[in-house]
Amino acid sequence: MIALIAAAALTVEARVSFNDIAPIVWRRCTTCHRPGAIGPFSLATYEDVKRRATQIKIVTARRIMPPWKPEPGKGDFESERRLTDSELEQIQRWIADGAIEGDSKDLPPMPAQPAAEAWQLGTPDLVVRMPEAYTVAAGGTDVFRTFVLPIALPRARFVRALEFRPGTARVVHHANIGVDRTRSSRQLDLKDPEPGYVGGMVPDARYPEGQLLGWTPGQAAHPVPPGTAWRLEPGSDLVVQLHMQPTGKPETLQVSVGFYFTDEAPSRTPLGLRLGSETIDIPPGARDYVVADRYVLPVDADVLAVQPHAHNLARRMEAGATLPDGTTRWLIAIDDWDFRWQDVYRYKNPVALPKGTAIAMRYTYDNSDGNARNPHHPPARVVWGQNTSDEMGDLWIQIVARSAGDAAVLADDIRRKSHAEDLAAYVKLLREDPGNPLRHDAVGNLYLEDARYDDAIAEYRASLSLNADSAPTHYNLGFALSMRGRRDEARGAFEQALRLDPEYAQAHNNLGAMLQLAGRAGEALDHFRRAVALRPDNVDAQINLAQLLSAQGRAREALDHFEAALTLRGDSAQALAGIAWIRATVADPSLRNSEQAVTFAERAAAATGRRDLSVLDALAAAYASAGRFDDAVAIVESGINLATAGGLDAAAAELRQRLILYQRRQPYRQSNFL
Amino acid sequence: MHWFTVLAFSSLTVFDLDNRAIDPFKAAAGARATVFLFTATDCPISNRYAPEVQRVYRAFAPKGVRFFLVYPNPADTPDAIRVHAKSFGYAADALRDPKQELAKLASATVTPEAAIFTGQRLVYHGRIDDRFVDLGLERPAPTVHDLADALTAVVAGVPIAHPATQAVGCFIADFAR
Ligand code: HEC
Repeated sequence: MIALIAAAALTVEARVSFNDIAPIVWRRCTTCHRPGAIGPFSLATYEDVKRRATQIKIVTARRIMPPWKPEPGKGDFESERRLTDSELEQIQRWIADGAIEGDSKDLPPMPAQPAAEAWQLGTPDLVVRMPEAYTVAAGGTDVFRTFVLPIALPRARFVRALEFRPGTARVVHHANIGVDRTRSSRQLDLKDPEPGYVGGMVPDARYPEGQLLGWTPGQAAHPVPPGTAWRLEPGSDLVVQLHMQPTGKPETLQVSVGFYFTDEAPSRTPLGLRLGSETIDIPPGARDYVVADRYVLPVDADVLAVQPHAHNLARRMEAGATLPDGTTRWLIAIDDWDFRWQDVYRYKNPVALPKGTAIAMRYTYDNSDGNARNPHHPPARVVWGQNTSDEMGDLWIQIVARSAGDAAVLADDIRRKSHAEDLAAYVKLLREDPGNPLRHDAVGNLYLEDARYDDAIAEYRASLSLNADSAPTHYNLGFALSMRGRRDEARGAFEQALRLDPEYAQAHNNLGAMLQLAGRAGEALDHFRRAVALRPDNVDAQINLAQLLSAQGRAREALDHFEAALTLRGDSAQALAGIAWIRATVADPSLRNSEQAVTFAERAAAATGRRDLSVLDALAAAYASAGRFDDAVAIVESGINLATAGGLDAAAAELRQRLILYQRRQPYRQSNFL
Repeated sequence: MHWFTVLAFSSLTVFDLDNRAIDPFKAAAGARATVFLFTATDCPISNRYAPEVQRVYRAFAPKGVRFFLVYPNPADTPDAIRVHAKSFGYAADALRDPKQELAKLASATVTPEAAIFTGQRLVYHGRIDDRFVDLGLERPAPTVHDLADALTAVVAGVPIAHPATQAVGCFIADFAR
């Protein structure tokens, strides 16, 4: 009898009440489902949750909510949102038991939620905003727009974290974030009458080296791993591509992004390794189109994070690593890919992979009508491209070489891989669209990176025969010609670019360089000055101008521009050496500063591995000016050897003259320096 | 003639926004058809349909179709409904159905869901279009416009191809819990 009563009491107690599941809801749902966050309604109180019980039963059982795509056990990620099996069971039992409240006196206290609009990482060092608010229409299809947020930054800084605030959380489904150091994104923005522009990011807007920047709702802001801060250059724009989902009424939003800086320079730089394909071409109706790619690590490395990316036809994604000893490790697996819930997945602990490990990915795509997310109805051929009606198949892998000494090997290897793929992709696009000058430009640019100058010249000429009015194409043509030593033609091309766009700073700079080589220093100076006036943040132009001024003996002015270059790029060897040279050799004692000359020249020499003749010349002059003639002699001798080995006779002869001077324990002074 | 339905309606208590009990079928007398659009102030899926509902309303109201928005959630007060209808730009008259009697009569189980009556005969109930396939699964654009197609048929006096479809959204039964 007694046993029976106990059993009955147990059954009554076992009825799950809101008191039991509230902590699960608060932990797993309320982050998004609260006022000001993306969740379209609040899930915090008994009333809130009870009123959606049937939906909650369905979306949790199918693991639609909380949104978390990676399969468990196939990658151990930070900030995992998935319900544990026992949490899920509790929720399901609560609903099956009638979604009862229980005694509200026993409800545990709800942990305080940070205000949805508070900065998670504290007050940022810099906040940038969309210059104007944008209004998403009430209805229609999802909106993809790219916005340009100018960054007011007086000098380069190291960024340790970014925090994204959507402004109007309900509408923004995700954001891709890039940095554009050119003005390409701004130009597109200017052409579009509304704030931002329609479509995706241009190639000039890219991830800072090795960073995977993106934002999905409910995501915690992540500082970078220690020692991997990234450098933000002044004059850059933050470019934010937003996927916005209409809510049924017009919604106005204004994104802001907080930057957190550090003075700690990075001790290691992660790299972005992309696996995948840019030649995707899926026939209509195909149900199991496959994109697969692999990469063999040339050095030991650690994988920090992955970001799978595809559009609406991708269904299943898998990626893993096969170690040299044959063991395999999952990197990620996603069944039922949902474009709307793409994310950057960071490993709790870096995945250590030895040299020789093969990293492989495999995505499958369904381009049939059976795929509800198919952008085409009826299905149509879908090719690679940035628009959501096109398809993509990337797995971005944030990876860092285990030892600093291997970093360059890994970087080169990865660059080669992605460059070859870009070229294949753009050549394919060009073949299908040969009448499009932009396609010729894109391929030309890739040839340029490969130092295939003649091929690049051919593409630019083809582009110009289709559209002679493109200033950047004339400019690029000029650049390719100049690299082939065809200076007169190059000068003509730069002049064309400037005729079309008189404010083309880079073209002024390069035309200046051509004129200088042609011995037309006066004209060169004018163009360098124009370049600097238009773009004071153009380091190359600052240095060109400074060097020409220095050669003309205008020490004071030259110093100004070398210093401007140095503020922009603190480790510029040319600026350091330029300043050192003037400080060491200037006749005017009020400008001379042997101590600074030595420090700067030594830094420049270290940065160039003592293989740059002008730097060595400056270093020797600095030593001589400081009275360290033996050091000066040693440096000049190494310079002479270098010049002779390289067949640079004129330079060698000049250095020999300096040698004589230093052997006589005399510094070199430039009498013509003002 | 309509004795069967009239009987059912005699107990129907739906309210306008001034809390007056009304018989929507009387209010719609003379209309070629009556459309009830079940919605809720805080159901994201039905909210997202607001522009589409407006489109259908603008297309068919001039053709003699009478539209009502119906709020089956007792927690949706007249004031909340006024604010909601205004911010989402709804033009149709709104009704409250706190006991979900009209929902039952119309076989509506979720918001958003549409029901078309000709006279007092239910001729269509279900989704507005097929944009939502299921919770968490959405097409980029609808491929079938069920409500508009059904109304086109009604206006043309031809049979409706699919008189009942499955709507996706927030469960009306949960509002009453
Ligand atoms: C990362 C943010 C996030 C978290 C965490 C989250 N949700 Fe959601 N939820 C959303 C968004 C956004 C929507 C709107 C539909 C969409 O965009 O897919 C949504 C919609 C819903 C819906 C309505 C279904 C629909 O398709 O409209 C339910 C029910 C729901 N969530 C329940 C939950 C529950 C229960 C939890 C916790 C176990 C949870 N959510 C956790 C963001 C979240």
